Amino acid sequence: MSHILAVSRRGALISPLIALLAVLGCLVLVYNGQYLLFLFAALFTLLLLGVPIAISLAGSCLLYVYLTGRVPDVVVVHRMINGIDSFPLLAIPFFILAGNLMNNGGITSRIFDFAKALMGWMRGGLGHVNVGASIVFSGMSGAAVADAGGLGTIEIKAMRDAGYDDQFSVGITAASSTIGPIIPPSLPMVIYGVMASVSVGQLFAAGLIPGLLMGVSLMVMITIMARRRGYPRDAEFSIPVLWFSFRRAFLSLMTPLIIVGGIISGVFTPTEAAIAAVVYALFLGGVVYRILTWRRLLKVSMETIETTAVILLIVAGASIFAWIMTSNQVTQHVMGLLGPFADNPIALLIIINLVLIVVGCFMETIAAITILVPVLLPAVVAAGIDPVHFGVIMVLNLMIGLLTPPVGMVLYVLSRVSNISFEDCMRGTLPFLIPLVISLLLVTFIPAISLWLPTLVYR
Amino acid sequence: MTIEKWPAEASGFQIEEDDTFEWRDYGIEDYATLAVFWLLALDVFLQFFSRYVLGDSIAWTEEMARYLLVIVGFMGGSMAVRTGTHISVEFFYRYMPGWMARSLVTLVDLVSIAFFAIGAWVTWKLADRTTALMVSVDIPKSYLYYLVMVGFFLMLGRAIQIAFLRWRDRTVEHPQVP
Repeated sequence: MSHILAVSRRGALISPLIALLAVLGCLVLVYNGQYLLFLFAALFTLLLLGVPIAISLAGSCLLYVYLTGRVPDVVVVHRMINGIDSFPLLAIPFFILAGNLMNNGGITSRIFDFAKALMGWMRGGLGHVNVGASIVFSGMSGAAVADAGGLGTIEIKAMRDAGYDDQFSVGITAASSTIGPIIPPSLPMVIYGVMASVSVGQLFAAGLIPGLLMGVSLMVMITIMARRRGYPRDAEFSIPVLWFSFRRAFLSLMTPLIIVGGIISGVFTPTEAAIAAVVYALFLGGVVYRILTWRRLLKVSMETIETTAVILLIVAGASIFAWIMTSNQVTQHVMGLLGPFADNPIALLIIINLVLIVVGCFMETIAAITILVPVLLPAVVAAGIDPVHFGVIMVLNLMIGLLTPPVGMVLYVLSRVSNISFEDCMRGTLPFLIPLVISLLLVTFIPAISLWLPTLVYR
Repeated sequence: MTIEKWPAEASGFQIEEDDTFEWRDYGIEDYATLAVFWLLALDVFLQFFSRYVLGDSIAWTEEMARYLLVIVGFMGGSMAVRTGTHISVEFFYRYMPGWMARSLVTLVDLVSIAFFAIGAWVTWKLADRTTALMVSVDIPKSYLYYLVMVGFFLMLGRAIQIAFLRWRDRTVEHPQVP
């Protein structure tokens, strides 16, 4: 207890000190007329104070526009609206809706039961089940937070009931939820596709194998930990139970096949796949499983609107921020800085990975993609790196950032739904960062892992 | 061999049912956004359907879908302001004494209110200056901007309400507002 108090006392001095320094920094920059640096400092200050990310982004731009007076203020709102006035972005609300419907339509628990029958007999069984269920669920949902909040609740409860310690349960749930946006469908990939003008279908295809690789590496880690700590086997392997749970889950298991298969084979565009997923989830939850009532549909719609609006406003705010950066030649500056590495893609990728990991810790995923793609992509393409490959690298980096403070969204969600302290969630997740970083390195330096499938399908 | 009943020892459990949709949990504006959202779903489904079944998608559906998405974003934003789900960095609040967190929260509320107010005013200027029509239908594009402005006003109203309640109750917690 005293140790917590010590931390809070020290923290009590540090955080307002940083905030004060940030505000002073902003004032100095304005005084010196360094408006572009002021833009970054203002964003940093607002974020630090706890202003919502969307408002921090758009608000700092508004201040910048009023200070420089070079463009009229209507440009800010116009750019914000244009930023979300985009057809591919329509996939976002419907993938969110589909994911929410699955979480509410009895689909999630069926998948979990099937994964348990399939893998529960292994040592540390529920850990493997956790990863397996996340892989299947990631084929229907596009956001790590949805994965953590829906499936994660079931997973943590099951692991607690089976006697696993809280840290291990939360850690593996958090780590496995980051597979969600790597395996298609994926909201971050949709945003990346829009910003980089890359086919979202190709990006989706590129994410499939890296996502499975993450799953395998997490399972290796679980096996090692389970051996060391002597975790039990959670269930006897039994063919009848497996067969029963498979039949029970069969229609739910078709969902990822429809979505992933439909997109990769080119039958559906991502937006159409999202609509198809919604229609299928409505059919399963409402007609087959009879668990989805009208009231529940209303609730799910409201939740979807809320999540959609939060994401869209961040995209809107980040678009005006990105616009100011590109119109001030920040891209050229970055290209100049990265110029020495233009003929050495490996060094370039190492540097960019480091930058992305750091940014991922401090910035929300969607905002980071919207801001960084216009700045980094030209340098990356100049070095001969495939933009599709870079998309997978970027999203994977930012997913690791979801597991680290101060902006570790997945940790916050899990801490809330499981009533486990934020610090314990952090500690539990730490060991699983190792397999994720190894997967990241493999994906970064072996382009074939991401590019093999899209090349096979699209060219 | 198959079994018809779920074996007891391998029992899957159910998620706790929180099937508690209450009409009064939401504001009037949320129902307006809900209508726009289902209109959007219908529109996109219509496009999907016309492309696959009729072989040719109806021209206006795509443009209309994009605009409806923009409206859902800005009007739905007010629901997120009301419930406090807009994502922000709360990490540092964990290590602050109470009085400091309270004053910071008030500051954040004031910044939000100022932003929404300026946003509404600037959007009104934008709508006022726009004379163009939409591309595929003869509707003035300014209508879209006026609806975005409505979104800003809704967010403004909710932000003022939340700020007042927090200030009155001297709390950092986000108040429950129907």
